[in-house]
Amino acid sequence: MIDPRKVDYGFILRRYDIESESQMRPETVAARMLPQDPLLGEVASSVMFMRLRDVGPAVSRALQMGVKPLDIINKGLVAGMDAVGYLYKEHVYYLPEVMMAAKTMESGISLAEKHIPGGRVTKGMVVMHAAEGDPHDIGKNIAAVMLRSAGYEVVDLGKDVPVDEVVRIVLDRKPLMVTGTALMTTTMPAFPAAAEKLHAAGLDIPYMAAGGAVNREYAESFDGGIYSRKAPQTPPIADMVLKGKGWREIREEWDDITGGI
Amino acid sequence: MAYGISMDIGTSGTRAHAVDLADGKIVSTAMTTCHPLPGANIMDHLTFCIRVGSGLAHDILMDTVNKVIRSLGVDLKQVERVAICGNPIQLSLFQGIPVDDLAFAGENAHKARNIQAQKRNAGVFDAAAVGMDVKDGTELLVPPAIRHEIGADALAMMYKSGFLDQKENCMVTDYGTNAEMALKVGDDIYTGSAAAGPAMEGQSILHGMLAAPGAISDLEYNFRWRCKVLDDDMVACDGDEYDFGLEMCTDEGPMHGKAKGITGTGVVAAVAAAMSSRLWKKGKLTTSDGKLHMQDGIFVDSKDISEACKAIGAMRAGHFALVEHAGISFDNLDIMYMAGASGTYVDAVKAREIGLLPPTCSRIYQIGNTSLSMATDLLRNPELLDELQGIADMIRANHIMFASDKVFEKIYIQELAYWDEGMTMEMYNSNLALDGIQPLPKPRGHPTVHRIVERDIPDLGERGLVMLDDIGTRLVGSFDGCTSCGRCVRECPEKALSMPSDGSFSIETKKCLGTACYRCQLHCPEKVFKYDLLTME
Amino acid sequence: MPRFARMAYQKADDMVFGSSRKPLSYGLGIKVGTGRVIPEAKYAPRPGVTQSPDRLKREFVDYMSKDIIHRAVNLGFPDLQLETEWISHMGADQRTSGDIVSMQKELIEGCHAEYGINLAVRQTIPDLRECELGLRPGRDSIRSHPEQLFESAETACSQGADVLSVETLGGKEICDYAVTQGDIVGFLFGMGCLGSIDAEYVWDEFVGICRRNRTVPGGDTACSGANTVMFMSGGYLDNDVQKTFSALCRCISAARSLVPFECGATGPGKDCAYEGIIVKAITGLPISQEGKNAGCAHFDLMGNVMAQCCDLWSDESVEYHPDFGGSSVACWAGSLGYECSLMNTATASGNGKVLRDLYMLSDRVRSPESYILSYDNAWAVGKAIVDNRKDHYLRARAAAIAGANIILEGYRSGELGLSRRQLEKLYRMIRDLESLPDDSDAFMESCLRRYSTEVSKFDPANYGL
Repeated sequence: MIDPRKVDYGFILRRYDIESESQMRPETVAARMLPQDPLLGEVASSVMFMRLRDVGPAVSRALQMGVKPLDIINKGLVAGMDAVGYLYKEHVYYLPEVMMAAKTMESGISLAEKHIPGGRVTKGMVVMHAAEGDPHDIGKNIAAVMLRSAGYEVVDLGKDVPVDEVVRIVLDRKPLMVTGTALMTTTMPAFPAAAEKLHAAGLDIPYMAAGGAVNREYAESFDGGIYSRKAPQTPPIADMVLKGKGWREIREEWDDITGGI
Repeated sequence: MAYGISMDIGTSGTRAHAVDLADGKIVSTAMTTCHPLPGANIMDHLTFCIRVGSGLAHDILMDTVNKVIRSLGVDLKQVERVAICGNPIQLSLFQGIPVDDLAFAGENAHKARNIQAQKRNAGVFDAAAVGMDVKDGTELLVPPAIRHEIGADALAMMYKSGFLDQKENCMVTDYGTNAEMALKVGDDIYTGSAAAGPAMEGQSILHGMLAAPGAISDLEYNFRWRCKVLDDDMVACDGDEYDFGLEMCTDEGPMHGKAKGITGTGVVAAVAAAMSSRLWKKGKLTTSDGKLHMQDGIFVDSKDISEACKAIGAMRAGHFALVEHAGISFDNLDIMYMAGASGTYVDAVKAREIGLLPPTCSRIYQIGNTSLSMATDLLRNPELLDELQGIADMIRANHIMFASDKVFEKIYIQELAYWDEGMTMEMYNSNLALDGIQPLPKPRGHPTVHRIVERDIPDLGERGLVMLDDIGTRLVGSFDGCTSCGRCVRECPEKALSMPSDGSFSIETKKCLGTACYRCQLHCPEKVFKYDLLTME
Repeated sequence: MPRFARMAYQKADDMVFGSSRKPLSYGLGIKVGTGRVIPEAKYAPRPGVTQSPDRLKREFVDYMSKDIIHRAVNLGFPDLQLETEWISHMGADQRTSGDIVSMQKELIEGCHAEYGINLAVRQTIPDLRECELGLRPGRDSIRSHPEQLFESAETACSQGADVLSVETLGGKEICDYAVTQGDIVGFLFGMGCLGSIDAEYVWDEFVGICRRNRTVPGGDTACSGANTVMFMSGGYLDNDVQKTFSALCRCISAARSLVPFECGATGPGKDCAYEGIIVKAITGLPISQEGKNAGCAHFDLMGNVMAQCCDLWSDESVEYHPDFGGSSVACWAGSLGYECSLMNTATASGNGKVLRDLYMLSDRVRSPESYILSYDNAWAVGKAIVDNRKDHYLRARAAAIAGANIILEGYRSGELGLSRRQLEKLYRMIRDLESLPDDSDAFMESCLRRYSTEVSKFDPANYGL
């Protein structure tokens, strides 16, 4: 008998049945990740399937039926967004879908938030800006959406933000982390300048430097600096800060943290 | 005998003609193939100005300019007139005008630094006064910029291509690191400038190089892909043939063994080949080792393709945004003018296929270096200056700043997802439809490509071309606290930095990568190496 | 035009199914000739639907193509090539044809993305030219068929064909006459000379069209001549055309079917006239072949032997209708794929040559045709073609003489049985062929004179003569 172990079956046939099982589909992910509760499930799936028009009514219905606004946010809207993040990581969803889902989620949050005395609690807050003198902020906007989707509050200072304003706001708000993006090499020295002032003021905060002009070497050339090559790498880095890791540790583990993204 | 000198001050080199003013004939041509300032793109040059000083930058540039005009072979005492053209940054460096308004965008930055926006209008200046080695009083004609990123070079591409006289809708783009582009619909002109990055010039590509003997400049489809390699006369000749899908060389050509790298046009071809062979999926090359192997060990990898895709995505989003702002359908855009060296030498059909041209363009004109040719026109007819200023004034109205344009942003996000994440074109279009943006059609039919010029500089003059290699200068200095450990010298990737004696350093500026690198400074264990403190030798 | 001067395979034993000297990648992940045999499924619409463009499109794309792809996925086939043979009136309706091509392309793109199966479509355009009206553009002012032929190629390629093929019918008027007369010299002139001239004329143009559109020029098969003879020679109960005659027609056709490849076509070659094995021996290019799994369309004595060295394995043409196992096209595609699976398993387990020989031996002495197409003999015919490459006539004649001698030797050695009439025909043909002049001009001149009077339809101007 010909030894079957010597036959490479991959050459002869393909197990499309097994392959399709391992293939991610939004519907199967929905069944696994979205809440069972029909009201919350409706909220979550409106986010997951980017139904901007449905999210308002779904949230209102849940509120009417007495679901706590905080649960609507965390167990509904954010749960839907978690599924989106998962699908994105698995290459089922793409960037534009993440952006649209986030828009849907935010519209739901703003509705539910009104019913929470004192506002909602997020994982933490991140201050973001594009460097003074730099009008390019597409990258920052994408990263902001990704951070919000991951449950962070984002204080977006916009573009062309003076160093002193960054420093003032960060000292005032004490975020988890501050991020700056620059597409123009001329503008990126603003980051070490701001980081230095923050450290001088006694705030040993991670200062993420990103954008087309910045490379990892530059980002890690000043105290506090950490790098993000592309927007989707920002939330996992924020998660590490949230866990209490300092910028030195994050630099060491950067490849693992951002691996595969 | 009265001569004139026309010059194009480019980011990757300076080109000049000597012209006999009596009959307007080009006498000779001289050029450099790199810029004397450290760095590879205008941002690097600007950063150098900001950090090290624009006075020094001007001096370094003028040193090169004078070397170039001296090699034209005419008596500089007989030069009566000079005309220049180039992007606003290079022209400002040349004229010694402050560049901080170009180096920083945004009111806050301008206020914080007390920056005055420069006008950069057309004007007649004194060539000797800006430092040119010509007699006092030689007039210097400077064409106008349209606005800060859309300079005289962009005006040149519109003026020299026939774009301005074209009655049908048409587009023109100068294919470079910063792609200037303009769309004309009726009498309205819409302009923009897309930060395409250096991949189009073959830079930031692992085996990338400028066009020179041994460069793979194209891949020709003959059911497999044949490398075209530049020979010693810069003619693209047959190299080896590859079936990228099978990952094998299928034939050896006469240029086998002679490839040294790949140019920007070669990278465009590689992207077209990878797409056509279905080897680009979800931001990665799907070959067994993630590389597209060409002859003689030259390859492009996923990162290279990704860099090129960023450039393509930015340009396509730019073109698309202009079309949307003009409110026309792609179906009504038929004519494309391609300027610049890359725009002249690239295979326009492949370029259109991968998205560097609007997909509906069926008439394509490759028009060469329009900057030098407009400067030469100015030299022959100084009165043209007023006309150009008039055109520049008219164009100011419809400039679209892509950096803050919502339409551009929406399209650009689709581009990112399409190239890097493997999103389909169907989704690209359905996402845009949600925002009321028209779908991007597939390239169709076979465009007619008119190569208006054989070379980017068609007429070299009867005395021909002189190529200058020996340009640039040295920056020298020493630092307190330096231990002469030599780490900085070892870190320099271009071997531009040397330490002639303990503690004293010397940088060859044309080799230095400038701010894109700064490894010397970043790796100094004592943190005393300060690039900005170096001075001209 | 350069002619093949060397055998791509140094010896016959180097040839085996699934691999070729000049493999090729194209379409959506298709790699042909690199080890794995690929099923190539062909289909024909029901006669009733052909008049309505919409129904025709649906039949081709939504029914037949989709059925076949789904069957292939259902059965776990890693690769599949579809072949759309345009029905005759599609040549006159470029818009519908173009739609079908682009819709099929869209379909395979979607299926490739969804299932990961490697796919490609070969578009085989119809050659409707009529020699009475004129074979070259400008000559047929009534139906413009020559213009239509080139237009069809452009349509197919520009709308997304992965592979372009055609079955050109140059020389058909003479071949048809020669077959009815049992005239091997006529077949040599019609197929070997006129067929070659016409194929060169067409493929010079086609290769350019393909290159412009990044379509692979697959090549041509001598369907209208050689396949007709094979059909008429039939099985053991058929005696109208002698199988020795049919066998030599195959040898002559091989010389003609080399021409597209000399014009730059890259393969995979087409199956229909069964000359592919000789072409592969010479060129090393991948070929598509058909045999027992094309029983729906062809009936012949070479069901197994044709698989011996194929790179694609075809079912020739399946008319769409329901069968118990699903639609006819799906059923036949399934049988194709299983056969490929068998071949590929043989390869994967190191038994490729064993299976090749079993295929070949099971048919080797079934008929003179299968004998001459057995790979060792086919290689020898190829060698004769290459050794006599000076012009179309000499190499086609050499192929016929070599084929005749191989059959005769096989008969004399007792290996191959021949009926009395087959043997008589063989002797007669050898005599005819050997009495032909060595001077091509003399041959052409005498044929032009003879067939211009015997075949009234024949017009030398159609071939630039």
